[in-house]
Amino acid sequence: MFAPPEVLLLEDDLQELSALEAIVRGLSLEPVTASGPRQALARLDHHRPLLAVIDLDMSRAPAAERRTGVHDVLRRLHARHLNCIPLVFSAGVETIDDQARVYESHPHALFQSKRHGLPRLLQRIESLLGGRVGDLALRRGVVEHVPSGRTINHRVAVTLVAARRANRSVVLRDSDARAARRFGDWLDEVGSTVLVRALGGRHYQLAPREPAPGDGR
Amino acid sequence: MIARMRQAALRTLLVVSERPHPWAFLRDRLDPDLVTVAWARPADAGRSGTPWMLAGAGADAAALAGFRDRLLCWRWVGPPPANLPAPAASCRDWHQLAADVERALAVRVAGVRLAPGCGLVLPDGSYLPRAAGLEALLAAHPDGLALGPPTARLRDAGRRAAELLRRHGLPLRVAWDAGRLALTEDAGVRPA
Repeated sequence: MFAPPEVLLLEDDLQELSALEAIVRGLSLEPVTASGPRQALARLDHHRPLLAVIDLDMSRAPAAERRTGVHDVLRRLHARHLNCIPLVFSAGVETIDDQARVYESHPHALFQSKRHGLPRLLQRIESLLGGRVGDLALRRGVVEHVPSGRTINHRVAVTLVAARRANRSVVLRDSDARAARRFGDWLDEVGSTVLVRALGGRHYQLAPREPAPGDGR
Repeated sequence: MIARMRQAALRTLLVVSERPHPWAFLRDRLDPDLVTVAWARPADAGRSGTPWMLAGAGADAAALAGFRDRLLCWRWVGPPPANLPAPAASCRDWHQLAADVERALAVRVAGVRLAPGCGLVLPDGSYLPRAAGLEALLAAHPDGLALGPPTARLRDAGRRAAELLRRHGLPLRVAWDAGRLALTEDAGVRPA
């Protein structure tokens, strides 16, 4: 059975949380919601989200939720969920100093200002989880080889495509490294312009296939 | 799926500055496909993994001593402090430094260039991973990397880079000259 990729949503405004949830479901992804940092940490004990959309301002969260902070969530993501892309969606990321504070908790965080509203956030999520890498497209949580129309839904394949969209590498354990190699074989089989590249130290990344000299491409 | 990261896998430019603004400027200007821009305050910079290039500002370089034995490109905005582990190319401002980094990212010698992420693309289009020393040498071409006193570890790093060139039959050599380590093209040999 195919389980769609999960997206952690940390938002203390329940109306906004439900709007975010609708956006994520609309992309055929599975929302994992949290209305406070403590709840988010508990969710991360049992879920492996591909993307985390995080609000920095937790002033509306119940006091019990605020015993831990958003930065604890970011630090947890950085320490234990390296392949999760954190997207900080907040009014508090307008200045470089704001962004530097987030950087200190998670150096790979991406930023999306709330000032630009939900439509822009939707575009950003779509560009990360719905964009193309070479002749591959990530559509509704599935990797599609566009020219042949063939699809693969293994989470490692999905993670590699999403990571490439965010200019990141993916860190894999042995069993998942095997899945990455199988994905590489699949890319060869469909004649994709993209390959899986082992960077060393268990890091993997999708890369464009270099044309051989003189092949006219 | 996740294992703990021991060091940055992607080519990294480490910005060492008290304030984060140079980091944000370079992050937004440089091609994220080719380089990841990281930031550390001077006191914390020693805890970072070895970058491809280190760009700093200010007078505090004490924490950088750990990079003494590593092959990396050094850049400094303003006069470099006396206790830098290796001589740094001085830039007038961060704009000049950004232009310099862009040039370094685009260097192509004998058909060898930096691959996206990390590693090298060889003249036949194949990919060479785990070549951090060569990546730094390529970026420093043609002047070469200015190094501090040549320690055993630095010599080893130079030998490893030379061995990689030899093993892959590349028409390049690693040459030590007057405190610099540089890539030179083999005379009379043309890249495949």
